[in-house]
Amino acid sequence: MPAVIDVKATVVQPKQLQAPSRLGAVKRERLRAPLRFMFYGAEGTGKSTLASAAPEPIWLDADDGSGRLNVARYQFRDEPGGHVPQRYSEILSAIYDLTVNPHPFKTLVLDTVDRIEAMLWQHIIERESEPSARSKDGSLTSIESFGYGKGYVMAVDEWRALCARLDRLRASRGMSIVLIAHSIVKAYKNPTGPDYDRYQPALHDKAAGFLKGWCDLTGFVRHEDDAAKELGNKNGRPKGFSTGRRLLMLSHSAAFDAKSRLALPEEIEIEIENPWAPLAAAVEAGYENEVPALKASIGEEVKRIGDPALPDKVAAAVAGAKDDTAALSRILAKLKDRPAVTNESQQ
Amino acid sequence: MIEVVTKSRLYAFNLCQRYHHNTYNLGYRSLAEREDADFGNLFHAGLDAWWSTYMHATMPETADTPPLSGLALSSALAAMVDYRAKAPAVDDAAFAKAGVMMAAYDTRWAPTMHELEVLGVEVEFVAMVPGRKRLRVAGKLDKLVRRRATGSIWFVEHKTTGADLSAGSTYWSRLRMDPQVSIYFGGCRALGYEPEGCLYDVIVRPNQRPLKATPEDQRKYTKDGRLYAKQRETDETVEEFRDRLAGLISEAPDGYFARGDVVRLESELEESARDVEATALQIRELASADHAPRNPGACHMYGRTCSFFDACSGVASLDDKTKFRRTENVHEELVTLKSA
Repeated sequence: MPAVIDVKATVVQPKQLQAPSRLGAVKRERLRAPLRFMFYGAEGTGKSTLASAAPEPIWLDADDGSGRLNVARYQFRDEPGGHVPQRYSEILSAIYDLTVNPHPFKTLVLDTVDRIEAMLWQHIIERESEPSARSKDGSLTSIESFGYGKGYVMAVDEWRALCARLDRLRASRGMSIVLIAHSIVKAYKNPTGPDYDRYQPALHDKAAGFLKGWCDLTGFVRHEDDAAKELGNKNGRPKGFSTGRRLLMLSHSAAFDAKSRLALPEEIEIEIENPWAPLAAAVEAGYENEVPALKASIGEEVKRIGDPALPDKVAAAVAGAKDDTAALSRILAKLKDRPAVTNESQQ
Repeated sequence: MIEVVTKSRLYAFNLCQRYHHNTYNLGYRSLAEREDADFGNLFHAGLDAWWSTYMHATMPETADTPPLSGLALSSALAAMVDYRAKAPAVDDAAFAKAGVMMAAYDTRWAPTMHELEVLGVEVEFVAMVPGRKRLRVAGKLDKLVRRRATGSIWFVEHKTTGADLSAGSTYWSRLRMDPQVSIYFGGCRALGYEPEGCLYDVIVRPNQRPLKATPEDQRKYTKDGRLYAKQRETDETVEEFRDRLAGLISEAPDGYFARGDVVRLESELEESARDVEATALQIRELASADHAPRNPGACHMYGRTCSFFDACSGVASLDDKTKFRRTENVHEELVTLKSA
C-alpha cells in the first residue's frame, strides 16, 4: 500500500489576535438549538398565518399559496412569479444561499412540503434518466417507474439529504425551520380494533414518517368544530358548527398525528392578533420545565427497571449532569434501553 | 485511561466475538484471508495512485479542458504493478481483471473529476466520540474531497461488492445506518473539516474467470467439424480474458460503477456514538472474561467462509503456521495507530 499522504494544508491556521477585545460582548445564557416544526392541516386553517408570525421568517413558496401574507419571500428568479421555485435544485440552491451568506432571517418556512415532494420526485426521475445514472433503462415516467416501492425509498434518501442541509442551516445561521403541509384523510388499519380514518400530512407514508421523526414538533392545525342537536329537538339530526377558534393540536390522537419533544400542552389556540405568541410562550415554558420533566422521566425509568442497585448510581449520574439537558437526555436514553429486572435476570 | 477502537474492530466484535478475540486480542490473521484480500488491496493501490494524480495536479475548472485521465490511469497501473511485485498470490488473470477494472473506472469517472478538488488520499484520523471523553475512534478516510460547485467537504469511501446497485436497491438504503459512515463524519471533524456527507464510490467486482478448455471426452462437433459454440479446445489466454471482460464492462458500465451521496443527521451521529460506546463497553467486559463465544450464524457470509472456521470447528489449530500468522500490531491497516 502507498504511504499515507498528508491532507492538503487547507485548514485555516489561527492568526495572531489583532481584533479589538470582544470580552465586553460576553453573554451568559443557556444555548438552545433552533427548533424544527411541521404544521399540517386542511386549507384555510391558518398554517401559513401561524408561520408568518414566527421570528423573522423567509418563505420558500413552493406552491405559491402565501400571496395574501405580507412576508419575505426568497426570489428564485428575477421575473414575475420568481418567488415560486420551478425545480427542486432551486430549493437546494436557496438553502445553500441562506446557509453561506449573512442575512437577518431567523425562520425558514417551506410552504408546502407536499409540493416540494412532487418536485423532489421529478428531480429523482430526471437524475436517474441521465445516461450515466443507476437506472436500468430510460423509461422513467413517474416515481413508481423504479419498481415496487423503490422510488419512495430513493425519495427518503433525498429527504434525508435535504434535512441534513437544513440542519446545517440551523447550526450556521441559528434559523428555526417550519415545514407546512396539507392534510389528507387516510384509513388507518387498527390492529387492536375496527379500522378508522385519521388526518395525516399529505405526503407519502415513508416521507411523512421521516419528517415527523426529524421535526421537534409536529402540530395538526384545525378549526374547533363540533356537532350538536338543537335545544328541545331530541329527535333531530345533529348539526355541525364551528366556534371560530383555530387550534394547534400537539399531542397524538387517534384522529391525527402530532408530537413534541418538549413538554407542551395538548392544544394551543392560534390567536388572530399574534398567532405565534402562544406557541412561543408554551415552548419557553417547555424549556423551563425540561430539566424537571427529564428528571421525572428518569425516575419513572428507574422504577420500571426495578434494579435495587440502580437508584443510587442514577442519582449520582443525575447530580453529575448539573441540569445539563443533553447529559440528562443521555442518561434517560440509556435507561430506556435497559430491560426491566425479572426473576430470571435476578437469579 | 483513553480507549481507542477502530470501525473494523467494532464490526468484527458485532459479527462474532470469537473472530474478534482471535483477531484483536490474540493477533492472529489467516494466511488465506491475506490471499483473498490481495485483489482488493491491488485495486485499492491503483485507486490511491489514480486519485493522488488529481490531488497533486492543478485541475482544470471546467469539463472542456482535457482531463488528466491518461496520466492518472498510467499512475494507477504502475502502482498496481508495484503492488503485485509484493503480492505473489495475485495471479495473471486477477491482475488482468484489476487492470481492466481500473481502465473502466477511469473511463467512467475521469470526465467528472473537474467537479472535485482532492484534498487527501488515505487520510488517517483519531477522533473523540462526542460526549464520551475517554473514548476515541480511529480509522482512515479513503479520500477527502471538496466539491468545487458548492465548496462542501465530502469524504470518499470505495467499496467493492457483488450486490445489486440499481436505483432504490437495498444496497443504498442500508447505508442510512452504516456505522462506518457515521464514525468517519467524526473523523473528518477531527481533521478540521466539516463534512457534508460521504461520497460512496461502489465498484462491482466481476465474477468472471478465464474459460477452461472443454475436456476432450465432452467435446461435441457440428456436422462440418466445428466445435459447439460454448465449448473450447484451449484454455482462454489472459489477453483473451482481458478483452472479453473489457467488452462486458463497456456494454453496461453503470452495472459496475456507481456513486451515491450518503448524509448523516445530527441525531444519527448521537445514535452512532451510543453504538460505539456500547460496543466498546462490551469489548472491555469480554476482555476480562476467559471465553469468547462463537457465532455460528456468521461463519458463512457473503459467499465466504470465515477464515477461522477450521480453527473454531476443531479441524485446525491457530498454532498451524501454514494457515495462520500472528501479528504484533493488531491494526495493521493504520500507520499512526500501532496498537489499540
